[in-house]
Amino acid sequence: MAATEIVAVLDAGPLIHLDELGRLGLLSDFKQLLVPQAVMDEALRHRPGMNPDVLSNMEIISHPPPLPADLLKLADEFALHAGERAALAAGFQTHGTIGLILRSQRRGRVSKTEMLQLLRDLPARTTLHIHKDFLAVIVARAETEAIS
Amino acid sequence: MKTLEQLEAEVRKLPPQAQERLRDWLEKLIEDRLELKDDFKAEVESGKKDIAEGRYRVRKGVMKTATIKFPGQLAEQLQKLVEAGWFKTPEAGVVEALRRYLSGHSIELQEKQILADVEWGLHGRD
Repeated sequence: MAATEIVAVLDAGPLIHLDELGRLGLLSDFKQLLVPQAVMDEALRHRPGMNPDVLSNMEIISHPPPLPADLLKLADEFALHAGERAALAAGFQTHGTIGLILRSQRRGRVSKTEMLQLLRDLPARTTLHIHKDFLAVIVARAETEAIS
Repeated sequence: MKTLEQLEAEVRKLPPQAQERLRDWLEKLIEDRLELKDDFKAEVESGKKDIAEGRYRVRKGVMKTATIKFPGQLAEQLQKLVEAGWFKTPEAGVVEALRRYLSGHSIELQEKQILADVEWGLHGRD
Protein backbone atom coordinates (compact mmCIF):
# COMPACT_ATOMS: atom_id res chain seq x y z
CA MET A 1 0.00 0.00 0.00
CA ALA A 2 1.34 3.45 -0.92
CA ALA A 3 2.15 5.99 1.77
CA THR A 4 -0.83 8.14 2.68
CA GLU A 5 -1.09 11.86 2.07
CA ILE A 6 -0.95 12.36 5.80
CA VAL A 7 1.70 14.63 7.26
CA ALA A 8 2.65 13.65 10.82
CA VAL A 9 4.41 15.59 13.55
CA LEU A 10 6.41 13.29 15.76
CA ASP A 11 7.27 13.42 19.41
CA ALA A 12 10.34 11.63 20.77
CA GLY A 13 8.33 8.72 22.25
CA PRO A 14 7.38 6.89 19.02
CA LEU A 15 10.85 7.47 17.55
CA ILE A 16 12.49 5.96 20.62
CA HIS A 17 10.06 3.08 21.14
CA LEU A 18 9.82 2.02 17.50
CA ASP A 19 13.61 2.11 17.28
CA GLU A 20 13.78 -0.04 20.41
CA LEU A 21 11.48 -2.51 18.64
CA GLY A 22 13.63 -2.32 15.51
CA ARG A 23 10.62 -1.04 13.55
CA LEU A 24 11.44 2.62 12.87
CA GLY A 25 10.59 1.91 9.22
CA LEU A 26 6.89 1.78 10.12
CA LEU A 27 7.00 5.57 10.12
CA SER A 28 7.81 5.66 6.44
CA ASP A 29 4.10 5.17 5.77
CA PHE A 30 3.41 8.89 5.93
CA LYS A 31 3.75 11.42 3.16
CA GLN A 32 5.92 13.54 5.40
CA LEU A 33 7.21 13.32 8.96
CA LEU A 34 7.86 16.64 10.62
CA VAL A 35 10.24 16.33 13.54
CA PRO A 36 11.23 19.35 15.63
CA GLN A 37 14.97 19.55 16.18
CA ALA A 38 14.47 19.35 19.96
CA VAL A 39 12.60 16.07 19.49
CA MET A 40 15.35 14.58 17.34
CA ASP A 41 17.97 15.69 19.88
CA GLU A 42 16.00 14.00 22.67
CA ALA A 43 15.51 10.81 20.65
CA LEU A 44 19.21 10.61 19.80
CA ARG A 45 20.16 11.21 23.44
CA HIS A 46 18.14 8.12 24.37
CA ARG A 47 19.05 6.12 21.27
CA PRO A 48 22.50 7.25 20.11
CA GLY A 49 22.62 4.36 17.62
CA MET A 50 19.34 5.29 15.96
CA ASN A 51 19.57 5.78 12.21
CA PRO A 52 17.04 8.45 11.17
CA ASP A 53 18.22 8.11 7.55
CA VAL A 54 15.89 5.13 7.10
CA LEU A 55 13.09 7.69 7.10
CA SER A 56 13.44 9.48 3.78
CA ASN A 57 10.13 11.23 4.40
CA MET A 58 11.41 12.99 7.51
CA GLU A 59 11.98 16.70 7.70
CA ILE A 60 13.63 18.32 10.69
CA ILE A 61 12.00 21.56 11.80
CA SER A 62 14.57 23.89 13.32
CA HIS A 63 12.09 26.54 14.36
CA PRO A 64 8.62 25.16 15.09
CA PRO A 65 5.86 27.77 14.93
CA PRO A 66 5.36 29.47 18.32
CA LEU A 67 2.26 28.68 20.32
CA PRO A 68 -0.26 31.45 21.01
CA ALA A 69 -0.19 32.63 24.65
CA ASP A 70 -3.35 30.75 25.72
CA LEU A 71 -2.15 27.47 24.22
CA LEU A 72 1.32 28.02 25.64
CA LYS A 73 -0.18 28.21 29.13
CA LEU A 74 -2.07 24.98 28.53
CA ALA A 75 1.04 23.32 27.10
CA ASP A 76 2.96 24.28 30.23
CA GLU A 77 0.19 23.07 32.53
CA PHE A 78 0.09 19.67 30.85
CA ALA A 79 3.89 19.52 30.50
CA LEU A 80 3.69 18.90 26.75
CA HIS A 81 6.86 17.81 24.99
CA ALA A 82 8.43 19.60 22.03
CA GLY A 83 6.70 17.41 19.43
CA GLU A 84 3.31 17.79 21.07
CA ARG A 85 3.77 21.57 21.16
CA ALA A 86 4.77 21.69 17.50
CA ALA A 87 1.78 19.54 16.55
CA LEU A 88 -0.53 21.79 18.55
CA ALA A 89 0.88 24.91 16.91
CA ALA A 90 0.49 23.40 13.44
CA GLY A 91 -3.03 22.12 14.15
CA PHE A 92 -2.10 18.43 13.96
CA GLN A 93 -3.31 15.64 16.20
CA THR A 94 -0.55 13.73 17.94
CA HIS A 95 -0.34 9.96 18.04
CA GLY A 96 1.65 7.62 20.19
CA THR A 97 3.58 4.42 19.70
CA ILE A 98 0.58 2.14 20.27
CA GLY A 99 -1.61 3.99 17.77
CA LEU A 100 1.17 3.88 15.19
CA ILE A 101 1.65 0.12 15.63
CA LEU A 102 -2.09 -0.49 15.26
CA ARG A 103 -2.23 1.79 12.23
CA SER A 104 0.63 -0.07 10.56
CA GLN A 105 -1.44 -3.28 10.72
CA ARG A 106 -4.55 -1.49 9.45
CA ARG A 107 -2.46 -0.19 6.55
CA GLY A 108 -1.11 -3.65 5.78
CA ARG A 109 2.49 -2.91 6.76
CA VAL A 110 2.57 -5.71 9.33
CA SER A 111 0.44 -8.81 9.88
CA LYS A 112 -2.06 -9.01 12.71
CA THR A 113 0.10 -11.60 14.46
CA GLU A 114 3.14 -9.35 14.21
CA MET A 115 1.18 -6.32 15.42
CA LEU A 116 -0.06 -8.22 18.47
CA GLN A 117 3.46 -9.41 19.21
CA LEU A 118 4.82 -5.86 18.96
CA LEU A 119 2.19 -4.69 21.45
CA ARG A 120 2.97 -7.53 23.84
CA ASP A 121 6.69 -6.81 23.54
CA LEU A 122 6.34 -3.17 24.57
CA PRO A 123 7.02 -3.58 28.32
CA ALA A 124 10.04 -5.85 27.84
CA ARG A 125 11.67 -4.33 24.78
CA THR A 126 10.92 -0.63 25.09
CA THR A 127 11.04 2.16 27.64
CA LEU A 128 7.35 2.94 27.16
CA HIS A 129 5.64 3.05 30.54
CA ILE A 130 2.28 1.33 30.54
CA HIS A 131 0.38 -0.67 33.13
CA LYS A 132 0.30 -4.36 32.17
CA ASP A 133 -3.46 -4.68 32.83
CA PHE A 134 -4.16 -1.64 30.66
CA LEU A 135 -1.95 -3.05 27.91
CA ALA A 136 -3.84 -6.35 28.18
CA VAL A 137 -7.10 -4.46 27.53
CA ILE A 138 -5.55 -2.86 24.43
CA VAL A 139 -4.22 -6.18 23.14
CA ALA A 140 -7.64 -7.77 23.66
CA ARG A 141 -9.27 -4.93 21.70
CA ALA A 142 -6.71 -5.30 18.94
CA GLU A 143 -7.33 -9.05 18.77
CA THR A 144 -11.06 -8.52 18.45
CA GLU A 145 -11.29 -5.38 16.35
CA ALA A 146 -8.32 -5.46 13.98
CA ILE A 147 -9.26 -6.86 10.61
CA SER A 148 -6.95 -9.67 9.50
CA MET B 1 41.59 6.34 63.74
CA LYS B 2 39.67 6.63 60.51
CA THR B 3 37.88 9.83 59.60
CA LEU B 4 34.10 9.96 59.22
CA GLU B 5 34.51 10.34 55.45
CA GLN B 6 36.66 7.20 55.29
CA LEU B 7 34.07 5.26 57.29
CA GLU B 8 31.26 6.50 55.05
CA ALA B 9 33.19 5.41 51.97
CA GLU B 10 33.66 1.95 53.46
CA VAL B 11 30.01 1.66 54.44
CA ARG B 12 29.02 2.51 50.86
CA LYS B 13 30.98 -0.55 49.68
CA LEU B 14 29.06 -2.93 51.96
CA PRO B 15 26.25 -5.08 50.52
CA PRO B 16 22.74 -3.70 51.22
CA GLN B 17 21.99 -6.37 53.85
CA ALA B 18 25.11 -5.47 55.82
CA GLN B 19 24.25 -1.76 55.56
CA GLU B 20 20.81 -2.48 57.02
CA ARG B 21 22.32 -4.46 59.90
CA LEU B 22 24.71 -1.60 60.52
CA ARG B 23 21.83 0.90 60.52
CA ASP B 24 19.91 -1.20 63.07
CA TRP B 25 22.98 -1.46 65.25
CA LEU B 26 23.60 2.28 65.04
CA GLU B 27 20.00 3.12 65.89
CA LYS B 28 20.15 0.86 68.93
CA LEU B 29 23.45 2.37 70.01
CA ILE B 30 22.03 5.88 69.81
CA GLU B 31 18.86 4.87 71.65
CA ASP B 32 20.87 3.31 74.44
CA ARG B 33 22.83 6.50 74.87
CA LEU B 34 19.75 8.64 75.23
CA GLU B 35 19.20 9.64 78.80
CA LEU B 36 15.54 9.29 79.66
CA LYS B 37 14.90 12.23 81.95
CA ASP B 38 11.62 12.54 83.88
CA ASP B 39 10.20 15.36 81.74
CA PHE B 40 11.00 13.42 78.55
CA LYS B 41 9.33 10.29 79.99
CA ALA B 42 6.27 12.36 80.91
CA GLU B 43 6.11 13.77 77.40
CA VAL B 44 6.24 10.29 75.89
CA GLU B 45 3.49 9.05 78.21
CA SER B 46 1.36 12.10 77.40
CA GLY B 47 1.84 11.45 73.68
CA LYS B 48 0.81 7.81 74.05
CA LYS B 49 -2.33 8.88 75.93
CA ASP B 50 -3.22 11.42 73.20
CA ILE B 51 -2.89 8.77 70.50
CA ALA B 52 -4.95 6.26 72.50
CA GLU B 53 -7.72 8.85 72.90
CA GLY B 54 -7.66 9.88 69.28
CA ARG B 55 -6.09 13.31 69.79
CA TYR B 56 -3.71 13.28 66.87
CA ARG B 57 -3.61 14.20 63.21
CA VAL B 58 -1.67 12.67 60.36
CA ARG B 59 0.95 14.98 58.94
CA LYS B 60 0.76 15.22 55.20
CA GLY B 61 3.83 15.69 53.06
CA VAL B 62 6.13 13.70 55.31
CA MET B 63 9.40 13.07 53.51
CA LYS B 64 10.02 9.57 52.22
CA THR B 65 13.31 8.03 51.25
CA ALA B 66 13.72 6.05 48.06
CA THR B 67 16.73 4.46 46.45
CA ILE B 68 16.55 4.48 42.67
CA LYS B 69 18.75 3.39 39.80
CA PHE B 70 18.72 5.47 36.64
CA PRO B 71 20.81 5.66 33.46
CA GLY B 72 24.22 7.26 33.77
CA GLN B 73 23.35 9.66 30.99
CA LEU B 74 20.49 11.10 33.06
CA ALA B 75 22.78 11.28 36.07
CA GLU B 76 25.27 13.31 34.04
CA GLN B 77 22.59 15.72 32.87
CA LEU B 78 21.33 16.08 36.42
CA GLN B 79 24.84 16.71 37.69
CA LYS B 80 25.31 19.45 35.08
CA LEU B 81 22.15 21.17 36.33
CA VAL B 82 23.44 20.96 39.89
CA GLU B 83 26.84 22.35 38.88
CA ALA B 84 25.16 25.15 36.93
CA GLY B 85 23.34 26.11 40.12
CA TRP B 86 19.80 25.10 39.08
CA PHE B 87 19.53 22.70 42.00
CA LYS B 88 21.35 22.57 45.31
CA THR B 89 21.55 18.78 45.19
CA PRO B 90 20.77 15.96 42.72
CA GLU B 91 17.93 14.93 45.07
CA ALA B 92 16.32 18.35 44.64
CA GLY B 93 16.50 17.94 40.86
CA VAL B 94 14.87 14.50 41.00
CA VAL B 95 12.08 15.77 43.25
CA GLU B 96 11.42 18.72 40.92
CA ALA B 97 11.36 16.46 37.85
CA LEU B 98 8.94 14.10 39.60
CA ARG B 99 6.72 16.96 40.75
CA ARG B 100 6.53 18.37 37.22
CA TYR B 101 5.78 14.96 35.73
CA LEU B 102 3.05 14.17 38.25
CA SER B 103 1.40 17.58 37.86
CA GLY B 104 1.00 17.09 34.11
CA HIS B 105 0.32 13.37 33.88
CA SER B 106 -2.81 12.11 35.57
CA ILE B 107 -3.50 8.40 35.05
CA GLU B 108 -7.02 9.13 33.79
CA LEU B 109 -5.78 11.63 31.21
CA GLN B 110 -3.02 9.31 30.00
CA GLU B 111 -5.41 6.39 29.64
CA LYS B 112 -7.91 8.58 27.79
CA GLN B 113 -5.20 9.74 25.37
CA ILE B 114 -3.98 6.19 24.76
CA LEU B 115 -7.52 4.89 24.16
CA ALA B 116 -8.15 7.69 21.65
CA ASP B 117 -4.90 6.65 19.98
CA VAL B 118 -6.02 2.99 19.94
CA GLU B 119 -9.30 4.03 18.31
CA TRP B 120 -7.39 5.95 15.63
CA GLY B 121 -4.93 3.12 15.12
CA LEU B 122 -7.66 0.51 14.71
CA HIS B 123 -10.36 2.43 12.89
CA GLY B 124 -8.87 5.68 11.54
CA ARG B 125 -9.27 6.54 7.89
CA ASP B 126 -5.72 7.62 7.05
